[in-house]
Amino acid sequence: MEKQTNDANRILFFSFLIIFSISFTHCSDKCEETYSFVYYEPFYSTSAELKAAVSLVDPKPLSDIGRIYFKDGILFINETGKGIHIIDNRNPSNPTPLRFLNIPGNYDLSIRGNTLYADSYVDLVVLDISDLTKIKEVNRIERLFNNYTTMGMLVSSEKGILTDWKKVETVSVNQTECNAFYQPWGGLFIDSGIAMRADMASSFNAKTAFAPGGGSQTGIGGSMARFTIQGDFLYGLDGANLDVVDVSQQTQPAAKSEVALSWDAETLFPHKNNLFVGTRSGMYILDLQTPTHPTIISQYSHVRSCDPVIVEGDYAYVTLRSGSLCEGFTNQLEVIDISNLKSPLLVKTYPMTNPHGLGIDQGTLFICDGADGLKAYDASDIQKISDNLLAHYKNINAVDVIPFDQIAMVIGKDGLYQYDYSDIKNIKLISQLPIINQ
Amino acid sequence: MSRLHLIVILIICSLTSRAQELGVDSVKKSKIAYYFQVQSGAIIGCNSCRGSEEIGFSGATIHGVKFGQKLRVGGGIGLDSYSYWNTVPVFGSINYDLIGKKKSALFIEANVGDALLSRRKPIYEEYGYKDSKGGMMYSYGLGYKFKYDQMRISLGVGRKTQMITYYYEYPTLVWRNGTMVAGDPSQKIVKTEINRLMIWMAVGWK
Repeated sequence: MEKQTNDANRILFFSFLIIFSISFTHCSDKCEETYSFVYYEPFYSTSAELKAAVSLVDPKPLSDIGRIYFKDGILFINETGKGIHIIDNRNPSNPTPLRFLNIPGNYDLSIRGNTLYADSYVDLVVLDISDLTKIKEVNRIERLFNNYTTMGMLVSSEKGILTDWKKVETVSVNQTECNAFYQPWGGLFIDSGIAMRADMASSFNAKTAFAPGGGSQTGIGGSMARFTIQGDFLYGLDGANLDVVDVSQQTQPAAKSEVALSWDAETLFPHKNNLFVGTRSGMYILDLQTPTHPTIISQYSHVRSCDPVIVEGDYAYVTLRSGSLCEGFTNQLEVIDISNLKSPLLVKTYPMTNPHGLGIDQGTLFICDGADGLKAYDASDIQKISDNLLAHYKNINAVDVIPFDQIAMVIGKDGLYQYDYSDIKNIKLISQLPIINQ
Repeated sequence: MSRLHLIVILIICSLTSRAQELGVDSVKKSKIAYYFQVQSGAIIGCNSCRGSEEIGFSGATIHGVKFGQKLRVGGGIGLDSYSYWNTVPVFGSINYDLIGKKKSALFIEANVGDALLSRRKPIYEEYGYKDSKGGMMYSYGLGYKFKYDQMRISLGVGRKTQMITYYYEYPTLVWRNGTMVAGDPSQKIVKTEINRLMIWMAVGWK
């Protein structure tokens, strides 16, 4: 009898417990969403802080390299957004790092005489390089560049210049209804101090930079450059505009004018009294008869792509490449007859893999064909350039090249390579400085 | 696992442990025997509960050892069909007769394990979907069983909970060296607890 009572109690207890737990806890799904996302907070610097940051320090390994510039046996290699590596290249088979010049927000440079002009975010910095061991800032044109806003480089009168974006990681945990699976935003991400929304990328005009120079007092830049010195004037692409700076007084530059050009302008190349502008939609030829007010003579259009341009003789050489920023699907070399500057005429196209920078020296054409390496052609017959491949180095991811005095100085994604082309039938690698990612 | 569910399962386990002690005499009296059962039923509940209840299939087979007359301990494998997923739970099972005679008994049962996952419908494979994984499964219930010769037929009602985790990644872009490249992706992890009322019928041996 007692056992039956115990059993009945036990049944009642467990029945109640299970029914209770089923009834009072809803048989529906519960969701916990954990978001781990990154955003970037703007970081501003004052002009005084930027000035104070310009300094000369001991050489350091190449890293994140951008533009290159060569003058009087010295190689100047830009480290994107950080400054300039100074390398003694008088013996190309043994390039020797000398110093590193800290310039915050620097993306390119140009040199006239003993004066180096470099961008520092919105400023143009003027440095005396007469003694490479004691480089010092001698002047500065503040806020010369206005179009950094397209890169997120805002200038606030209260906070200063937006110089960086600090990465902030956040984690949030939410209890949600399980049908609330929604699409998060794609994100705005920045590195090396430059940022933009993804939807702004197509209108982005990249960094103000410097280009190959003309005139005995200047050096030579790569084909990807966006600044150049021609005569007494420095020309720099500043977003959709071309800034003109009088550098006749080397240490006392004066901003002269700002000429509206094209929102997709990318590179500058001076030739005689003209300026060749590579844009993503074509090539502009500018007349520099009135140096302070360049005028457009003609425009050669092509499909949308990235396209540095170089000129030798009556021909301009343009490489078109595809890519996320460049858009398009075209990868080729175009040879354009510019004997009539008012009517440039396409002569020949050659398919390439993913051509970036290019250079030419007395008919020897060097093309940095991206992952397909460096290619050297005899371009004396423009109808048969592809038939006259002199050398093909596949072991580098070539980006830009300066061919000068029988030495091709090539910037690759993994370092600086130098080739001796004194014998064009036997072009050989003579030195390499590797990039060390820090 | 919510506190209430944990309490229920712990009580069932502690009770059956105590039953194990109490059942020593029984074990002495009778041999330890193999038992198995095959069960199928319905799992009833809702995803967001904004619509109607959803009814899915649940099936399993459990094999184990019967201690004495009342306690069964074993392991099982099953197949559960939810709105968007099929899961294959592998679990441990404990079953105890609260009251009963030879012919029939009222019993409690608890199962705990882990489940593999397979997709039924692609609804959650939206933008950014990367992966999904099954997780812990636990259930408990109350049932009635009766014997027919060596066969055992049982009916039960209970609650089943299944954890599923979804992983999402959303690409971002970084402006680096003049080119837009892929940056650190944002991530979303959704841990879903699927709770269902479970009704089942089982046919077993012993």
